[in-house]
Amino acid sequence: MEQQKRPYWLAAAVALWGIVWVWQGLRLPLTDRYAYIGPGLPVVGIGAGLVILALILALQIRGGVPFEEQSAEDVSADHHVSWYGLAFAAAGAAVPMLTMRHLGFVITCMLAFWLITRAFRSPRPALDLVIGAVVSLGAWYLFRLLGVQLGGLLPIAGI
Amino acid sequence: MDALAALFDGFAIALQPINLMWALIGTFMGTAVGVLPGIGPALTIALLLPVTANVAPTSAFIMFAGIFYGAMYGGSTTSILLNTPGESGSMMTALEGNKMARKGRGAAALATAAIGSFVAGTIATLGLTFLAPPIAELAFIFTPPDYFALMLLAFLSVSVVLGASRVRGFIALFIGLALGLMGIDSQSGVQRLTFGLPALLDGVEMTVVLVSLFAIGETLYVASRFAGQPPNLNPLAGGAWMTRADWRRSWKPWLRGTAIGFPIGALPAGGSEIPTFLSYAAERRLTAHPEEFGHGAIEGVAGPEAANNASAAGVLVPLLTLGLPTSATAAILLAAFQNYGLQPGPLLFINSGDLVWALIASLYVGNLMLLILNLPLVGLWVRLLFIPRPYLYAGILIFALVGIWGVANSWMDLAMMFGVGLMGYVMRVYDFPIAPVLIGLILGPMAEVQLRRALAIGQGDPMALVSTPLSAVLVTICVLILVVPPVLSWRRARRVAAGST
Repeated sequence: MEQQKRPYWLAAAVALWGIVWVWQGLRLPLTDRYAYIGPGLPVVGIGAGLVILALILALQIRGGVPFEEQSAEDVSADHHVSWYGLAFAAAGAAVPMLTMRHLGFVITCMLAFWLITRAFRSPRPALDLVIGAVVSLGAWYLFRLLGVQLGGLLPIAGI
Repeated sequence: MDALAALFDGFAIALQPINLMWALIGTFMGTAVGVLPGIGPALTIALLLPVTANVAPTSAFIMFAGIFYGAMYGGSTTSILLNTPGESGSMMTALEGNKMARKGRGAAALATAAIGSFVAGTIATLGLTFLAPPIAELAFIFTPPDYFALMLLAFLSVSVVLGASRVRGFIALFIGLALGLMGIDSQSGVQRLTFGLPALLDGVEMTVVLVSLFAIGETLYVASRFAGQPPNLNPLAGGAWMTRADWRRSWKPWLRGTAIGFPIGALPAGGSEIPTFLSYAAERRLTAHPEEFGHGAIEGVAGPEAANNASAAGVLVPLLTLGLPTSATAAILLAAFQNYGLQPGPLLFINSGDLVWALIASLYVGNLMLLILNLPLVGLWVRLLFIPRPYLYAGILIFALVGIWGVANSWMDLAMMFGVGLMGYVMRVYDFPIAPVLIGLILGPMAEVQLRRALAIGQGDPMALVSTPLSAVLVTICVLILVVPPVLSWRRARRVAAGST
């Protein structure tokens, strides 16, 4: 996202998180006969901390505190934002939620691999799909040999 | 000397061929991930956790130690040749090292970094060898209030030291603490923040959060701001190795860097930014060639690089003796110990002495391996930088999926990967530090246990938390860390205001 001058939504999100925690914590016993602190009290405490920090952040934002993007390798010097790249990368990270259980690890990884190569504007989509398939199958086979449980090849077909 | 005898036993284990192989694999992978962008030591160890379920703990930790040290060697290579420090500890190295490389002195810069890392790593490992056992002994008399105060200090220093803004550091910490509360409460058996979802009963997996924050967050961030051009590599040509003058100018900064890095790394307020920065500042002041600073002074590479490695060994002191992680990599190492049912702390030296000493011995071995791997093979490592970025980041995502799906085959973890990955993206855009989330997540539940224990022992009196001398001192330091900087800046602001009227 392009940086806004006054990203109040950041403070709102943190505050909302805190409020949910306080609300959930208040439904649990706050004190305990032996340990004095019940299971709910830390939840309320951390939630309240988030709300207070959100308020301070909101004040800072109102005062015009600068937000500088973190530097990273491969990032363009002017931090120009490509929504196209972000959308495809996000799709690549989201696709496992949809496909992993039915289509299995290999097909999921192939799709995710392909979506990430699109995000980085790789010039040859068809080749990327083949490379994705080979890498996914290789990773699945190798890590299964090493004893990592990754599920079947195509769960929906019972393989 | 007990420590010496134990260390020799450790060497007997670490020098077994199978463990030498693990050390080699570890140092190799560590150097590779140090060179590669988008992937660091913490992420690599997190991704390897499912694989090591079938490996003996000693071998796994020998490999992890290799990754831990190797990544720092690799990180210095990229900061010198590319001016892209892969991790915060290499930032100072990039300042002078890259200038040296541009002047065709890249080989000398790499050499002083590698040899300096070796010297510092070896001395700091010696420090660890002789310092860890007494501290572990000392930790036996630590009471719950002491532990709680120590963790409080670790929380505070991690959030205040890392990142540009204290408020954002604390928000990151509290997010980690908030995530750490999810699941069944170990003391009362009550479900907390599970929102009726059985998948959340076991709480939030450290690996999932770490992989999502680092791998997914970084991929999203780089994809949205991709430079789209190959890295601008400084040629290794004109490969004049270290001259006699270079050696003469390097050895003192190596030792000074070690002396600065190890103690600061060993404090619960550890980390690598402060020691590397201090070392750079010290070398700049002490140098006989001040005119070269900013234009490629070899002291400015030798000192910070040594400090960086020494502080990494220092971080292992609180981790092994107190179970207190002070960096993201230390946090995942702690999670790895817990995976094997081991709890770092004073008892680790007694119950799993073999493992600890083999680990420490492997640090010596790994350092030597890294020196051999890095000096002649640097040209090979540099080639890793030319992996096409689409495939590099897509490959990172596949390994992230192995790491996350392999933990429990849980759909909730995949959803968490997406959600926490987006959070990692936002944190990068708005400059929130990431390590406090991980420290909060792993230390939070431990701090809660100690807090409740301390109160139970003190019969509910909050003063019980400062009832021992150590806890009182530590809590006082915490209060000072919190209070002093804002008061100072407030007074400065008032003085400025008074001066202007």
